[in-house]
Amino acid sequence: MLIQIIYGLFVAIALASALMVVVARKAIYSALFLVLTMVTIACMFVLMNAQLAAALQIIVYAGAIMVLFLFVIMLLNLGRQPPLSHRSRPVRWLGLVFAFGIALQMGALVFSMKNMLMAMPGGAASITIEQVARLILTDYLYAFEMVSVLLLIAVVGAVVLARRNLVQGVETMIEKPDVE
Amino acid sequence: MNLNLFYFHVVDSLLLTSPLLLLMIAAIVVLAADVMMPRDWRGALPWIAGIGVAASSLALAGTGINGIALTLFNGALVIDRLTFLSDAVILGGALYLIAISPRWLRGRWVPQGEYYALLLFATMAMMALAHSNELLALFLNFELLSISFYVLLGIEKRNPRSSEAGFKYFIIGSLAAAFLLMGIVFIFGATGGQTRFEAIARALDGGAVRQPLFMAVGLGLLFVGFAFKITLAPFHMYAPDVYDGAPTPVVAALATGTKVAGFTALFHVVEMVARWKGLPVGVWGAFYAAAVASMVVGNVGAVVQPNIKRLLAYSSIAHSGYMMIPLAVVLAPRPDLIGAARDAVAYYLLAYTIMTLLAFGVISTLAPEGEGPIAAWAGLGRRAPMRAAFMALAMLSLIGLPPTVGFFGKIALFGVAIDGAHIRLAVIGILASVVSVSYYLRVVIAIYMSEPAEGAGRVGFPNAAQTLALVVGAVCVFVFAIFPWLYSG
Amino acid sequence: MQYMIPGNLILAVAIFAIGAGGVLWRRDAITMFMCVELMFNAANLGFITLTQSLGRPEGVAIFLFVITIAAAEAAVGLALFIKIFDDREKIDAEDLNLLQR
Repeated sequence: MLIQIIYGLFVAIALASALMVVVARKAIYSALFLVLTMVTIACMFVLMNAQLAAALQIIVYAGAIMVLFLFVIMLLNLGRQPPLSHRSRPVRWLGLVFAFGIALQMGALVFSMKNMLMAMPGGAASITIEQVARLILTDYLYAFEMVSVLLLIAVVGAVVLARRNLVQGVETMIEKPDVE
Repeated sequence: MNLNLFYFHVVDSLLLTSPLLLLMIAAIVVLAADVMMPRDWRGALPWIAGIGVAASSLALAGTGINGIALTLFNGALVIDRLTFLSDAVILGGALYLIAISPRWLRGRWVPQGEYYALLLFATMAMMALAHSNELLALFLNFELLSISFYVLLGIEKRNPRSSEAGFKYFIIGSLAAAFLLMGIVFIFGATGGQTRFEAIARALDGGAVRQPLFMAVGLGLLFVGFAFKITLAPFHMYAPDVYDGAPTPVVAALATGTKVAGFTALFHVVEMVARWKGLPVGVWGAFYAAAVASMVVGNVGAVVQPNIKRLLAYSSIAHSGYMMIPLAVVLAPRPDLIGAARDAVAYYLLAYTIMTLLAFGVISTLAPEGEGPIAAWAGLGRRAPMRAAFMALAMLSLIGLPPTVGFFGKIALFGVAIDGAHIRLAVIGILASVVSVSYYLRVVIAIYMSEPAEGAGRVGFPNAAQTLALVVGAVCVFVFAIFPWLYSG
Repeated sequence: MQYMIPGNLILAVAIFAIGAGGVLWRRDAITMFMCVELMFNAANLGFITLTQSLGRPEGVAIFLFVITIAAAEAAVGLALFIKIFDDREKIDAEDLNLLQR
């Protein structure tokens, strides 16, 4: 019974903080609510007996990625955010209705199958790191190798894009225009 | 699992993916050379990149020509006839773009080494996406391609339009990835934890999927992810802005290579579910609706575009719509037509790539004034006769006039619709093509029938590499139309 | 324990939809991207729920790759974001120079 109450509490927190990410006025509030959502989801993983995933979720998502977000928000001092797109109000409302529609559809679908889902082996399985490691080096070997290429591209890309050409000395690294 | 056997399999797989590996090596060599070579030798970078692509093409000719379907890396990738053809198109396009780029890059703030390296990485990612045969590999390759393009689109320094194009594509690309991932979650759940396409197909055939709706929602979300990538209406909104702001050779790669890879991967997904008896009709409906909507939105949207790159963006939406026709017919369900659909899509991908690359090639030689409004093209027939002729040829081929490659491509696509008794789709396609005449001819009229603006002098000459690339492109428009067997074998 | 399977899946769908709605509703770039991160998290919740209920380790392996990819993507996206600001500043600075002459 206690577990059920805790679970319900977490569901409420996750939903509320996810909503707050969307409606918060300042980017920094959104980022902090996003951290809360991610931590709550990690708690869900613990309740599901998936400790490995929970640890990774906290370390990588709530840790690394969110620090990156906060860093950029602080660096650029995002009080004065320029809007990226100029969508009109009706289009935005249409978007909300659309999102609400898919949520209802998919939620109803899952709910209609709740008996089948509850009959699954469920929760008892504890997946060990060994099993995951074995999979990564056999079945998902391709992904394991390709992720390294992806990280290389991301590193090169991030350096190319964020390299400040205002700084003196770095300027020479960028191709100077040939004036004809 | 017997590990010894597995490592033999891995070595085999590495040999068979040598086209991808060679591109990766070439990219790393370009990056290293950029740092280590003296500054005056920068001109060698495109040559290194070109040699890498040529080596990869040779490796492709050596590995995949027999067209036997093989799976690599325990089912992560597949090699079959379709992937062989799309790889060939992607590599040809990459070589063309490397020939076009150096002149276009002159006088622009673009870091050269990273540009060519990322172009090679993007080419590799396109080929990898085309080969995907497993859900995780599909997601990974999808992201590999997206991340390369986020950087490439925003690579031009001191050009806010380039970075905004990159960022717009970034938001849309990650949104697409999120949809794709959610689709994978649903498919994973519906099939009881299968991720390989063959295993999913087997689970579907064997009736192991007791909840067809669950699977259908997964397929639908997966399709939305793809729709963003291959600019299908109504997920096309970003395309005109991105095409307009980003570097022209990169846009050419985005317009052609991404679609070749995306359609090939989507075709493998369609193949996976084509023989499933319980396929809910909604999945077919989604494909059908996307085909019709893209044809209508693309062609109607292009009519009013005053800007050449935005016009080509809408044109690419319309052509994606045409290419959806065979996929929609296969899911009708007509699994018996899958061979014909494969040939039609493969041929049209080739045709679309040739004509679009030719058009973007001409645009990039006329940069910067030729990259904006069509009005700037007025009187080009006298100012630059060769390029004017090539642009007109590309436009006529995009309309689908004989004897160009576009005509035979459209015949093949609409032929599948007629074979599958979907006359309505063929009729919509033909009507859409008729509408398209108006805006493609607008460009031709500007080139040949309007007077050049006051003060518009001769435009700069293309360099030898660009001339060669354009001539080869123009010849291909006819060669593959007259001898289609050169391509399909 | 069993009620968590449909419960988590419905939660995942709800968070996914909140994220999708947020991308369409918000207009500032960085919050839009945070909403996309919400959608990724929702998908991860779905993966772990299904993988635990099926007792198959594949989902955890996929989860591992997905967070790696998401981290790489976030790095590139935020670099692009910095570049937008950089370019604008640069343009403003150049405009100022032009005015002085």
